[in-house]
Amino acid sequence: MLIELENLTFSYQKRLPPVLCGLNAVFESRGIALLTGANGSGKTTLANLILGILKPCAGSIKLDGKNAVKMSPGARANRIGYLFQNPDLQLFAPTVEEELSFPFELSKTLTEEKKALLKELIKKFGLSGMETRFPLGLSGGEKQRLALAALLSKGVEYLILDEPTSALDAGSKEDLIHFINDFSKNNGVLVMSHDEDLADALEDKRVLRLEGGRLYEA
Amino acid sequence: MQASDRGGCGVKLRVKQISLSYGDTAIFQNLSLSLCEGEILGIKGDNGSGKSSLCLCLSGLIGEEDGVRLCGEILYDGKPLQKMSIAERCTAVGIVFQNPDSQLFSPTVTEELAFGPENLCIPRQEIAARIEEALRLCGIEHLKNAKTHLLSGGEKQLVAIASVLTMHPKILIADEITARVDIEKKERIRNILKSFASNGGAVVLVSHNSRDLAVATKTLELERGKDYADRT
Amino acid sequence: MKLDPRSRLLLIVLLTTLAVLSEDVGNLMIVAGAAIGAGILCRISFLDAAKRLKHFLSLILFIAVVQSLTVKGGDILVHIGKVQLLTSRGIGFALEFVLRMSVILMAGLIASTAEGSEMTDGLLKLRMPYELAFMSAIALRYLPVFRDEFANRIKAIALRGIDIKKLSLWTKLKLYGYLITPAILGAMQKSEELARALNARGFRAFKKRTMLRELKLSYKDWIVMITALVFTAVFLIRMYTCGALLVL
Repeated sequence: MLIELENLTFSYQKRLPPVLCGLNAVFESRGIALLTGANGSGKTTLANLILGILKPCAGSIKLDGKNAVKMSPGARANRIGYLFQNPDLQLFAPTVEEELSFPFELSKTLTEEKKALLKELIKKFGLSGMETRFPLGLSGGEKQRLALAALLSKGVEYLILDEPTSALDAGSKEDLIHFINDFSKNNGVLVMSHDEDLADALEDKRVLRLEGGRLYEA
Repeated sequence: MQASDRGGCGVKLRVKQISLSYGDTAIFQNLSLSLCEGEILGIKGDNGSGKSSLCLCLSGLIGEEDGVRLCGEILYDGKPLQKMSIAERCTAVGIVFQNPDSQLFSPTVTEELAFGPENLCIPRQEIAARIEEALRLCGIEHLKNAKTHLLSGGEKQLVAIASVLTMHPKILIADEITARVDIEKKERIRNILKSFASNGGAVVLVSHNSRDLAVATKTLELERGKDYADRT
Repeated sequence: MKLDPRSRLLLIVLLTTLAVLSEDVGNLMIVAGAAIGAGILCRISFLDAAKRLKHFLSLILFIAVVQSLTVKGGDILVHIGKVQLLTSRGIGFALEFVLRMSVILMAGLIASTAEGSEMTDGLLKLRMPYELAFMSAIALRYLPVFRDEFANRIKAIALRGIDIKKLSLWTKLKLYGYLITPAILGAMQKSEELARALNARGFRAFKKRTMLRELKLSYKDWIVMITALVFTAVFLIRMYTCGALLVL
């Protein structure tokens, strides 16, 4: 999934100065892009624009060369996964198992093949034995792993991670770094983070800085 | 590594064999430590090892709730925490939490900084002076008249720190306060903590961040359920 | 000179009382006139207010139109054959509704002129227990936090590839069921965190507390308050003697 931003401009209200001014950037379909910037600089706004939650005031976003303007957030979500800073916000179901299966149950697409894939994801993300546990009762690291498993269950090709280490201890942080380095070998990852330890540990990354509404490459 | 007990340095905080359990689950047992003026104790450990629980114990915020058992002694300048009134406790120890949204109550920054001293019946003129001092210490003088809900995450955390400093605590507990904050403000917060310690206070700093822990003068690593009785 | 929050609180209470207790269009027009006067005293920009509240005003007008068409009685003003469309009683009802809502809106606008915790401080000076005054302020402070959190959860649902609009009613209900538990748990957790932080900042350390903001009633405040009280008393007595007082 290649993400291209062309002259992207966004403001929350017309009378306010734009949060993003004429951004031009390409996020490759493989590899890690690390996006830094002060609190309030517009990182989450940029993510919301790519995901289709917000619409640009000017400029365009292209996904694999096609203008994404007509793609709904739901359609984009099948290809781009977004991990919230607080994983509690994206966990809904009463059990871990149901957390992964409920979107497919709602759309009546829960096939045997899908069930096998979900079992595989539970194993891959170290959640075996927790299938019947209440997701919001898990530890911070476990919740994050569950949220990631839920995103990958849709077969996303690109991940946007918003401050993924803010609630993690050293052990969980290491697991996450390993996952990001591994996933980025065949897919794209945009990591938005202030964590210096994370920045040091990510392999082969592009470092971008959002400042004053503009994007700079470090 | 267990924090050592140095009796003759102006000991501000002394913890004598505290044990905490929730129901049948022991969080930590027989933990002892002390903190002198000018010291910064860095606490690290996996999630669930008891770091935040220890912070709540040290700040007197763990109550006699269902299933909570706390034994042992926590002394500030020789006085037991359990025997302190709310006002005494607030001037002995202040605590700043990770999520600034849960600790900012007022519509404006000035009112937020005034909240603690107003509760402690500090006279009006002194409150005003303390507000100016705290704004200067945290480098947020420009936010004096700002509305709290319009601030960025990092600015909110600086306001949260300033709002605790206006109560003039002798010990400051910082529970993962840089987790949601950008790099520039992380550095500013570390400087605030160093400055607090060098001006006669002491700091307990909980963090997963190695650069945060680098400002500590001594460290303590916690493990869930561990008995620290055999440590000196 | 800005009115003291206590004066504004008194105006709010008196206006809403008169709005609720008054019957008939004539009396409500007098009350509406008084409300406009109070708004001018509190330096409300009516144009800005109208822009901010345009959706709310449209809703009030819509309800008024529906009431005028559904309430029957008095002289028939418009009819199609034997079907009565508009009657004088219907128009009267609609006008009363519009005037009453306008007065209540004006009271709300007066409340919104407060800066920061002015109104809370005003309530404290009026000897309201601190915990009660603080509770209402904190509820207002946290409403946007809970609203934003709920909005984020809805966003998260969309980002799981679920298009809520395309779901059947039963599935939609099931989905909202998934949202309620985490929202309640989130609210409970926030309350716990808030209680801890309040405790840490010396909340209820003493029975009384000092106030940074100094509130002093000026001569203008006294004039406004006495005038408002006298006006309300005279108005209520007049309405009672004329039988135009709404008895609850």
